[in-house]
Amino acid sequence: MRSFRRTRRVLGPALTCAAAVLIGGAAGVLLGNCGPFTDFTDAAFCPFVLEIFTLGITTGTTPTTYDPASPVSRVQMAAFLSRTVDAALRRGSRRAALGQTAVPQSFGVLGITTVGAGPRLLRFDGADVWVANFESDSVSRVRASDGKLLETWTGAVSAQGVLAAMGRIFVRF
Amino acid sequence: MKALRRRTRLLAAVVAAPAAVLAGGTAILASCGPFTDVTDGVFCPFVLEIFYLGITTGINATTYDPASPVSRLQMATFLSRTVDRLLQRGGRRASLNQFSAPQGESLLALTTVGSQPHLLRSDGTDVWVANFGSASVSRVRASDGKVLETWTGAPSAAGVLVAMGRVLVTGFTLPGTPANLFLIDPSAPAGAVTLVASNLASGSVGIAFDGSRVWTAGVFQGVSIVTPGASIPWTVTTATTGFSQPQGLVFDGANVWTTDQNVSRLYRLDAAGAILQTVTVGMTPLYPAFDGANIWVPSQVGQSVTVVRASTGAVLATLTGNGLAGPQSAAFDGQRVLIACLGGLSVWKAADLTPMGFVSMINNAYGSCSDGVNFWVTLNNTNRIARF
Repeated sequence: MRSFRRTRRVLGPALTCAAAVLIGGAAGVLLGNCGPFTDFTDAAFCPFVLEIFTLGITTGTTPTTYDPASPVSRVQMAAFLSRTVDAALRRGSRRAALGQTAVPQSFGVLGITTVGAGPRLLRFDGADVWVANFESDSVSRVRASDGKLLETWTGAVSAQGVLAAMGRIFVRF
Repeated sequence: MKALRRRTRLLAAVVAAPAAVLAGGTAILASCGPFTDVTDGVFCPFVLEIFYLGITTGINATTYDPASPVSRLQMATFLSRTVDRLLQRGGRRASLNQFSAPQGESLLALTTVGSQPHLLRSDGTDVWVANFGSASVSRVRASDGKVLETWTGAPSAAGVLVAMGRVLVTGFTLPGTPANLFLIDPSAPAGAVTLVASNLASGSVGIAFDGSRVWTAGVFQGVSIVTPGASIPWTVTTATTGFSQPQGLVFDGANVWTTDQNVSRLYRLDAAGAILQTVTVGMTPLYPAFDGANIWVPSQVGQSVTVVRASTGAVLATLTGNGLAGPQSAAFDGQRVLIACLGGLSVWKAADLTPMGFVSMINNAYGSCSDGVNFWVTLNNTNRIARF
């Protein structure tokens, strides 16, 4: 306990725990009339422009101008749409929500699960991974979250392909 | 050029991909949904889709003005609404009908874990909690908050990382004493954790993974880089140059970043742990989160959150208000950013940095994470975690 108290002092000065509710929130730093942009006249559109600026979909025509009245060419629109799809996918996936931004760079850092002999194809049912084991004539059920082998189903001679459908698992021999 | 302009507005309708099916509606009787001026049947499904999604309302209730060009301003509106609708509909919260957010502390579901829970992480199914005071790690089922397992033997367990199919935990130490890195095989029966390195920078709490190595931030010494190996102990190198009190770590897909709480800085690091870029943030920055584009840095004494664009290091905004009293840690769930504060939970819309709400709390919130549906926070003065 003593070390924890000391830790908290190190981690940062103690603040009062007063649950002061501040009404609303505010953003600072960007000093144009709409974020970094100085050429806005219609405040109603500013939040939309700020959102695509924050997401990296637009950077403006210069660091301080957005040129709001100009039309969008097809090539510009392609860039906007491409970045929009990228931004939505990057943020909307489960990997983003779980903070899984890294991609394994070598075999040594892969999570490994031992299943039956000669694993062939495999499928995911939303929670577990089903593996067809060709040489051991079996099917392994592996929990996706931690790689634990949950079950082994037998009697699947030369199991090769797996399908998760209709609430069942189908295995091709 | 004229043809291009004529086409532009129609093309703007093609923001969301699959064609909508015209069926069932009775109130909408014009040539294309409510619009009487969309006469090209090929484009109508696209216009209808963005109408139904709320991306456009037309220029009035019955006209879409399909031949007019789109200004950059109008385009920004379409794209902003497109991102919002995709994230609202595409998340797990939508498919589970979890559209509400708790409005008070008494509405939070609580789970009792070990003593003085510090930071925590989700593996997608369960939440792993480092219990600083009881030298243990709790595994909590995210769907119902049940404690499934308790792993022991992790003195001063502080930071948690889920990577490589394993759970890694930092063991905090006092100045002059090397810190520890513990490993859990989550597929094995619960028991004692495995010590894989005992020479981390002292005071290590923050932890991140870059795809090949594990990084820890030691508040008393520097940043350690751990290379996992087939045998124990794992190799550790520690960078100290330029660091004062590194605290939190985050990997943005290209670089590891660390906060330095003593000098109110956020550093972008190279592969060897050298400082590539310095960003000034609010006072006493602690545990940041990456939202796919930006890094959210909570600053305890600054009572603010600095939002930094990861690709450039530019400060996009310094957020204040919305209950940011003593912010400790940030978490991102695909749409929202939660800031755990000493005074409660502050929620922000990640896409446009606007406040979404605040829950005042008597208990101190410290660590935070998302499991894709709910946020989880540690209440380290009550030995519990809360689901938001």
